[in-house]
Amino acid sequence: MNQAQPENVSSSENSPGERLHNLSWLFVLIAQIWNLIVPLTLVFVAGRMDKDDGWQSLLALLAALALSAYSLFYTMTFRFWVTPDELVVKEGLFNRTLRHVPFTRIQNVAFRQSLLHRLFGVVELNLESGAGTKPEAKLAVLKMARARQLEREIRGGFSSTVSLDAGQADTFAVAAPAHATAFEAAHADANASAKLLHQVPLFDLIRLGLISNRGMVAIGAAFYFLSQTKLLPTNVFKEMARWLKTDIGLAHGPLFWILSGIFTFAMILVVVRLASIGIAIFSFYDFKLYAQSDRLRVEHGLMTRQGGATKPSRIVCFLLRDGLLYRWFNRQSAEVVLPGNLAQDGASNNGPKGMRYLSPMATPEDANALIAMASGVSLNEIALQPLHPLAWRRMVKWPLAVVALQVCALLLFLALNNQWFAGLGAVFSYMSFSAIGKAFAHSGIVGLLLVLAYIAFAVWMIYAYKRGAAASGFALTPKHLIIRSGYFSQCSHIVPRGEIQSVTLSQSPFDRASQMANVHVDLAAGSALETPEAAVHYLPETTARELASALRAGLV
Amino acid sequence: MKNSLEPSIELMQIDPRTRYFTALGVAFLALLPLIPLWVLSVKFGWAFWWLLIYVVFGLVAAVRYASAAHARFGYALLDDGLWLQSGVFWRKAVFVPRQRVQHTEVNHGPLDRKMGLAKLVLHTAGLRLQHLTIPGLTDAQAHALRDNLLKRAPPEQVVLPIVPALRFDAADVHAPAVEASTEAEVENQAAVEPQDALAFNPRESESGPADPTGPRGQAAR
Repeated sequence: MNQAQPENVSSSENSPGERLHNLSWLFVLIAQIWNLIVPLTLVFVAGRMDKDDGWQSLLALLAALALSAYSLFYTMTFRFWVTPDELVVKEGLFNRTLRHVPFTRIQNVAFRQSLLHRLFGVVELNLESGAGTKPEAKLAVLKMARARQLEREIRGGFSSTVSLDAGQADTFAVAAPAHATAFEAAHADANASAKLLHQVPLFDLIRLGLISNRGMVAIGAAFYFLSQTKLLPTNVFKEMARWLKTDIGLAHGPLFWILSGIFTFAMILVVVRLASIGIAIFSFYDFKLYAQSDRLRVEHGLMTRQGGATKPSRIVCFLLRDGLLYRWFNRQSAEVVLPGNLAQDGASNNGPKGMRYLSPMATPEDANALIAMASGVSLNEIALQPLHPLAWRRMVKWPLAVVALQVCALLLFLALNNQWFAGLGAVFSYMSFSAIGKAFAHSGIVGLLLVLAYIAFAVWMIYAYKRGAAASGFALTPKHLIIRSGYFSQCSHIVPRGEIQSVTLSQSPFDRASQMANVHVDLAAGSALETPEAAVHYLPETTARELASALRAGLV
Repeated sequence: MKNSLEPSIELMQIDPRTRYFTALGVAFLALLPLIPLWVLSVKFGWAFWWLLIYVVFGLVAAVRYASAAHARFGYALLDDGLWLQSGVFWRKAVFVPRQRVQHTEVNHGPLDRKMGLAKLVLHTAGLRLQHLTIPGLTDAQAHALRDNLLKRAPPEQVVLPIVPALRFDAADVHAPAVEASTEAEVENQAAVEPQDALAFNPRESESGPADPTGPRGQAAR
């Protein structure tokens, strides 16, 4: 292996390069195993069922040996040099790759520190440019002190190039904003210590767990594995069926199934929520947002501490999200979308993901303040231009049709089973209060109540869509495009106009009939699945055209 | 042509022969259910002429749709970028500024060469709109459009370090060792064998700005 230093490194160093921490191989190995955890578990689960252990454990052992050999050699041959301007990295087992990473190109830094990392006092770093390709450098692992020093060196590179930003040859054909935001100008001192901006308390994390659905995947996986090993708690369902039949006296008809379905759903909901709370606490424990020199930095995590740092001017889009449950708890979620695949599609990169949230749970005032500080746009002061006045009708049409269809199906169902008519008869015959208890046991009454519930839901839905459409709209400032959309869950996009890649004006045949049009704006970052599209729907046609031409003019 | 989405922009149309391709594609899709329908008609004893009506209807619909799609497809090269409009029922118009064009490709499909047509594909850095295609352009149009969008110098001025030893010539054995990377060399080589499919031909096979100064330094332009 060639240990000679690369040419551009200042000859005063003349060193064979810095190496990663001695135990890096262990962490790389653990990361590899973690990637394979699902197929390995499947192998073991299948093994238990087959009761044939011989070749499977041998296979697992060989795999483990191969992985450890790979990680050992990879980390042993990894070298890096730090020059005043750039980081030079030499890595690879068979293909030795030499990479020069100028500090000015490192826009985002992400780190991860699990319990094992903390035990040895090391940290895993991920340095990425805004280019959206492979991360520039992944350093797993470095000693804490060295990592901090490296970050300071990178930061030194940041603040010295505020004016050079526009001149850097990015692989992106994006006109990088040559100016620093007000935030960066205020915090330009490279050696300033971190200032805490926001912290998320434990109670908010419990609320976050109640809101989010992260538990679903975990519960689904647990369900699958339990069912394979015959540990599923089927007793609960049997108990519930018995309770419905004997204690309440429900006839074994279709309504029995509906109610038992509702109870099962409620149980699953409770279990999923509990899992979500656990996951929320694990991921976001002690969430802290700092301002450090001209960057924003987040840290969170219970056992694995992770986070990232980024310059606000590199943020592609700001999101302020709330939903039904969020509003109930009076909280909002403030997120950022970063260029490159560091933050969103972490699947392609084993390393730590970067910043995604400014705050996963913040009061509306705090969330607005955070977004205002990072983007320079204060949402409270922006007056949105409204959508087409009849937008709510178009929005509500299809969901209402679906609900109406379900009500009709339910009525037909009950009528065919003669319980609807029996229920009506029950209403007329049981007119006294003492008989109401008996009446509720009668399936027909329950069916009637379900239908009424559906109708009430439809009315509430119309109201929600109307209110949502009234609160939606867009605003165009010289530097930003602000979009607010959504009915049950609202989402505000704040897009710096320099980040817009293309503008699309679209019209469906229904839009043409009602003289509306939509404007979409494409960004260079995010995940197609997770990041909501930055688009304004149901605008009046003329307004949409004006917006599109205004955006076009501002892009050049 | 009628431009309902943005009346102030004058759109250019693509070659009408693209209609044939569209019609063929739509006809194929429309007639695809014919096989299961035929099976069902045999099973349930439907009259055969219902199928015939379906076939006729499908073909007519394909031709009408292809015409409409061609009429509604248009592009305009504006000062600041490219405007591309398409769609019969679901209409959309995309605007891509010059600076946001990452790279371009000029492609030829299997039949395009015979008809003298080409396809221009623009790649942007966007997440949802990663590439835009303009089919049915002539070769010259496609290259002119691409050059205009990338605002690059004409290919003759691009310096490519072609090593002469790659194409061994008897004359080279006795000729003095000449620096390959001069513009004259490039022009000569390009002029001597313009139709040779094996030689490196900058027009046909490159897929991006062959700018040896490195990645797209837009600010430098």
